[in-house]
Amino acid sequence: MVVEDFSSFWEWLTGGANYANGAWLTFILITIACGLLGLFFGYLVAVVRHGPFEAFYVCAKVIFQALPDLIGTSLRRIFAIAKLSAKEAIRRKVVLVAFLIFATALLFGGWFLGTSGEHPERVYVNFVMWGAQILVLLMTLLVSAFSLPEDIKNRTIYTIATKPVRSIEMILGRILGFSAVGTALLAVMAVLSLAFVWGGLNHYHEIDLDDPTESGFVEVNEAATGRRPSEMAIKEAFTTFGSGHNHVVEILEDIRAAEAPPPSNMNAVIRHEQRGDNIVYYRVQVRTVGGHTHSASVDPNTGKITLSGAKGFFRARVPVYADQLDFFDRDGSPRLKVDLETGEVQVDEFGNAITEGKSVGEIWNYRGYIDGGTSLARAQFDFNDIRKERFDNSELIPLELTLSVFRSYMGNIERRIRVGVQFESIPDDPRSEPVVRSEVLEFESEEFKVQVKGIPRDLPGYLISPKGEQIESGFFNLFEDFAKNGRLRLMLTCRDQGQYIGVARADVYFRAAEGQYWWNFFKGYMGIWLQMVVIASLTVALSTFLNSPVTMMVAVCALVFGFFSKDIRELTVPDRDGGGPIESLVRLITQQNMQIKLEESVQVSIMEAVDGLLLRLLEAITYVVPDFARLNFAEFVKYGYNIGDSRLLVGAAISFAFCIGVSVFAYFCLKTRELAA
Amino acid sequence: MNYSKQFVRKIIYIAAITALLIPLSLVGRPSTRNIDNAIVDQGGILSRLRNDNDLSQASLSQIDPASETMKLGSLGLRGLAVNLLWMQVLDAKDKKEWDALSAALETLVKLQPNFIEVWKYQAHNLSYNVSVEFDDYEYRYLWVRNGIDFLTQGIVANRRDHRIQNELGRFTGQKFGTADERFQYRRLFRSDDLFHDRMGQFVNMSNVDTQYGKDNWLLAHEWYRLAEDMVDRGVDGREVKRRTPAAQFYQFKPAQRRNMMLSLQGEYRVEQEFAAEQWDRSLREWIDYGRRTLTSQMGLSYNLEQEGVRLQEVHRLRAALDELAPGRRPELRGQAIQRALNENVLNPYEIELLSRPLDELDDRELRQAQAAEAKLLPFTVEVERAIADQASPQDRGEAMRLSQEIVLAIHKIDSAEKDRSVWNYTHWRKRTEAESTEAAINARQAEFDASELQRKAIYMAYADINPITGERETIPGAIQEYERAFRIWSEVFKAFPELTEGTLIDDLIEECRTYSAIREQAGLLPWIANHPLQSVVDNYAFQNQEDLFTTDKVKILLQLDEMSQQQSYGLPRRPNIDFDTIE
Repeated sequence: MVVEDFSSFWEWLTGGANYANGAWLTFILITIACGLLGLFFGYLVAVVRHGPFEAFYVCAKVIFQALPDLIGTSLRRIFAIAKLSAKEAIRRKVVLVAFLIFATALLFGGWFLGTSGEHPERVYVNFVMWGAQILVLLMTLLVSAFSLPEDIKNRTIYTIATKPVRSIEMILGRILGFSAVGTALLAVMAVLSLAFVWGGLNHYHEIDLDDPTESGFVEVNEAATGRRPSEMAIKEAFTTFGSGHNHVVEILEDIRAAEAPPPSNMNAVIRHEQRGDNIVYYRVQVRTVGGHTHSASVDPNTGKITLSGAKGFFRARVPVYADQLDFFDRDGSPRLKVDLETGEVQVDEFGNAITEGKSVGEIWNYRGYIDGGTSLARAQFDFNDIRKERFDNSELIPLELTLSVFRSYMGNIERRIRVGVQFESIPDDPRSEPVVRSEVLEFESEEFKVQVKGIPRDLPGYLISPKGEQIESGFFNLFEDFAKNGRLRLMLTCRDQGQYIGVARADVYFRAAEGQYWWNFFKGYMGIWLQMVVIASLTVALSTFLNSPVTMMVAVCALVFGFFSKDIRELTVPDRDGGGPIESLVRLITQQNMQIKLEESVQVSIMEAVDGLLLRLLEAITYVVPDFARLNFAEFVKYGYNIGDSRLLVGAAISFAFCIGVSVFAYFCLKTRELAA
Repeated sequence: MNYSKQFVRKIIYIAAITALLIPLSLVGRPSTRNIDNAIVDQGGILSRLRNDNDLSQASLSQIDPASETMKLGSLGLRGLAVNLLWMQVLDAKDKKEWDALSAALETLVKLQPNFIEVWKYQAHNLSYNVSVEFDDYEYRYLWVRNGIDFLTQGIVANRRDHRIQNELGRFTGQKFGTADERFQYRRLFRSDDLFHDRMGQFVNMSNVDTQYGKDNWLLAHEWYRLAEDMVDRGVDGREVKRRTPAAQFYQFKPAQRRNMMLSLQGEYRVEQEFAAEQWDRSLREWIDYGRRTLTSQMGLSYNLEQEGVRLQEVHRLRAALDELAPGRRPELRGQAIQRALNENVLNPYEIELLSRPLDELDDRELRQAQAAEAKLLPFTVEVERAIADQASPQDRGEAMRLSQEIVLAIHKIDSAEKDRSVWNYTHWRKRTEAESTEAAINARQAEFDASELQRKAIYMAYADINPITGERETIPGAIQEYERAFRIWSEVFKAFPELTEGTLIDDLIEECRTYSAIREQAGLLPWIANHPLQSVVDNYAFQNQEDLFTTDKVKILLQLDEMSQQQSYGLPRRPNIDFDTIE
């Protein structure tokens, strides 16, 4: 899964070492700027209405009234208004329509979704979460946009305004009421979605043999079938075809030392026998198809093999990502990222030089590539918090890798590119403390797949003095020797000369635990809930001074800006091909392509100047509207990763700050409006 | 506005909507069919237009509910949705999110089910572009297969368009059969029963069987057969328009069995009987293709076998014309040829060919003479007319008819020659004929034996005791097997001298390189004197200016040729030289 933001809640809030980038400071600056701007525009409006001197008093009055209003806000009255707003929303039947559309989509969703492709769970999750998100946001937008303007238009607002209810209570009550209705709808949708995903993906197979025992299996014959068998596989059979696929079922000859622990799933073992000092376990394994498998169990009396329901669709992996990733060249030097225009080495927010992998000419530069055939060219992952307590007590620590491969020549087609992984300790004082370095664990890469490697707690390796001499060799414990200070270095190398392995920071991690899927699913819905609250607040605020259609339009624009802020910001890059909005329109009409430079003239200069202003305005808007991408956790659910508490907290903080901001803004707008009325 | 006004306004709106709905329902009414699938009612004009333009859901029984729901669900914003989906597909491809790409494609084709280019483009994307992104050949195979499965989904919505079947033939044949991973692909294909079952819904899979298992080339053959049937017989009693020129369209099917044999003989030691039968069938299919009547741009009928239309026919007609207007041809034709020479339309070699009697020309020279005659056509028209003009008034009508027939015959020769050249008809005809001989099949077996021995690193012959006879005998190594193959090929080339250039030679040169390399590994000289294919190798080296196991005389010729190239830059292709005859 693509992850580009690794900061914790605290780092996000405070900015870490570089506090100037902290969210709190940005919030305060925006609040002050908005306050001053609001004051200025409020004064201008008042000047128009009352003249320059009177305006000063009007403004002062509004500001001084605000304080007691805010202090005297009553929760009881807010709840009363919330209750009324909720009733009003339900009466409008928009909620019912949204629910019916969603239910219909779930009913017929199976027409479009199948379980035959790669990772159908991603398609399912995407479908339900996207549907719920769109419907809930539209529903919230509709009920919030029509409420206040309708009340003002029909003068029913006076039935409340004449009561001892403050403006801020009317706004907060509405936000709360609409959010409550949205919450109820979202909760029902979440439960239905989970049932839909679960029911849609779960399926069963049987072994496609008259007698589903070992006797029906045939010898593995790669030369005849062309299928690469699993390691240790000696026999194979197929499952029945269902849900658009079937699986290969293999019998593995698992040879273990007599003193070694037996396989974890003894239900899948057909028989075992003593062979010299070893025990051979003949166990059944179902090969993975489209990201899932089925576990096999063998009846000890009849030898019949039965298969469970689908496994592997419903994951909530808790990853421990590296805190730093660096790339090194063939000569062992860091591959520093250099600005092509200025020639300067680029640095991160802490002033450290940024390194980058090799480019193999891909359009998407998310992954950097490592040169093959040398241990000096490597990707170096530094983990700062590897503690025994973070992992369960299993014998092997799961290291998961998603690697990309680039072949510069064809090589041996039947063999995948080999990868090496080596661990190293990071001593607090490298000048005086020795380093523990493991031997290289070598394996074949599996592209576009989460590859799981069990790392033993005790690894063979060497103790190396600060001078670089080998002090001793033997087995060293991952937690007590390698990561005794919590820090661990993982070095990834490509073992094949002339070939490349591509990797990004989120591609290599230790899996600390497996979270509950259903809980993660609901956390995904919490993201939609936060978006809904933001939209409810924004729409209510806008409706205090705009009529309903305009409110809706502005809110939809805010939504678009919020979801696509990154893409829109890309459009505002100076000197972009095609120019700004006006120039693009001119090019469209005159059918000129984006690269041709327009002939210099006064008109063109004016157009470019106006475009420049519009683009800066466009850019500014993307920073004012909330970043909905940060409130969207669907990707985590889709790819089976746990949504970390930090992400939830960041999302909640953004939503809360935005709600407070727009509520205060709405309060002043409504105040002005009442004064006008 | 009072209540009654509001009421009246609503009634007017409803009446207007109803009034608009009536013509809409009339023009949009779909066609209906009876139980025999015959159209009972053609439906409204919109429906007929949809039918005429192959938007085949015009019939109620053929509606794909998922596709129609999607189209309706886009609320008239289908174009926008399609654009967004295309962007999503491209983005997913750049970011290598294959599941997202597949999902977007599934949705896309439900919105554009009748847009054939979408099926073609995106299936190509899956089978050719996405598949190669995977390092593991098994995954590559799966994605080639995904592209083929994707294309098969488009058949239902495009029942009167053969292009999907053609693409399916291309993907199944070319991608599985000629990719770098062809050996692995074909092996996986043979054991892929599920895929065979799926393909069995469309084609007769029993025709795909060989004694070596199911073959991708034969599956391609079946797809092309379906495409040909659609065009030849139509669908549902309606004509299917052929979208490619006939010579191109009909050459795919017969090429597949030939390709199968070329693949199989590299993978197995194919038995004489099976190989001879398959090559014979391939030859018959190729000749059937050659006998198919084609139509030129001028509307003239011809075929690639050139039955009845050859240079001999032109000469016969000319003789008849010359009897009516004797004596004028040598001068007029001489002038025309001179003009053609001056304008670089013909070269001296071609002029010499045209001047020789036909019975002196061998098959290859005859083809070159026909091509030269076709080039001369713009000048010939005037010559023949001028000769006809010289005929006596009572014979002039007949003379004019003969002159026109001559021109038409040359036109036909020209069209046939062009197509024969573009589709390499003559070469493949000879090649298939040669490959079906016992000698060529033996040569292929020897080549296979040689490559197997090479794989086992048995390069040299060794002595062993025969377990049956108990006698001591010499077992050949890879070098001896290669030499046996080369000897047999040299015999084949004596019978089929036309094959001494072309793809067969390229393959043999590669084998010569391998042979030379293993000789070196075995500690021998890389090349032997009196190599059976020395003349072929010399010619290849001369044509390609490559210093490759050549004799000294070729090296000298190459140097001389290089000098002459420097003197007269831009000479056409070098003529073939029989190096055995040079001293």
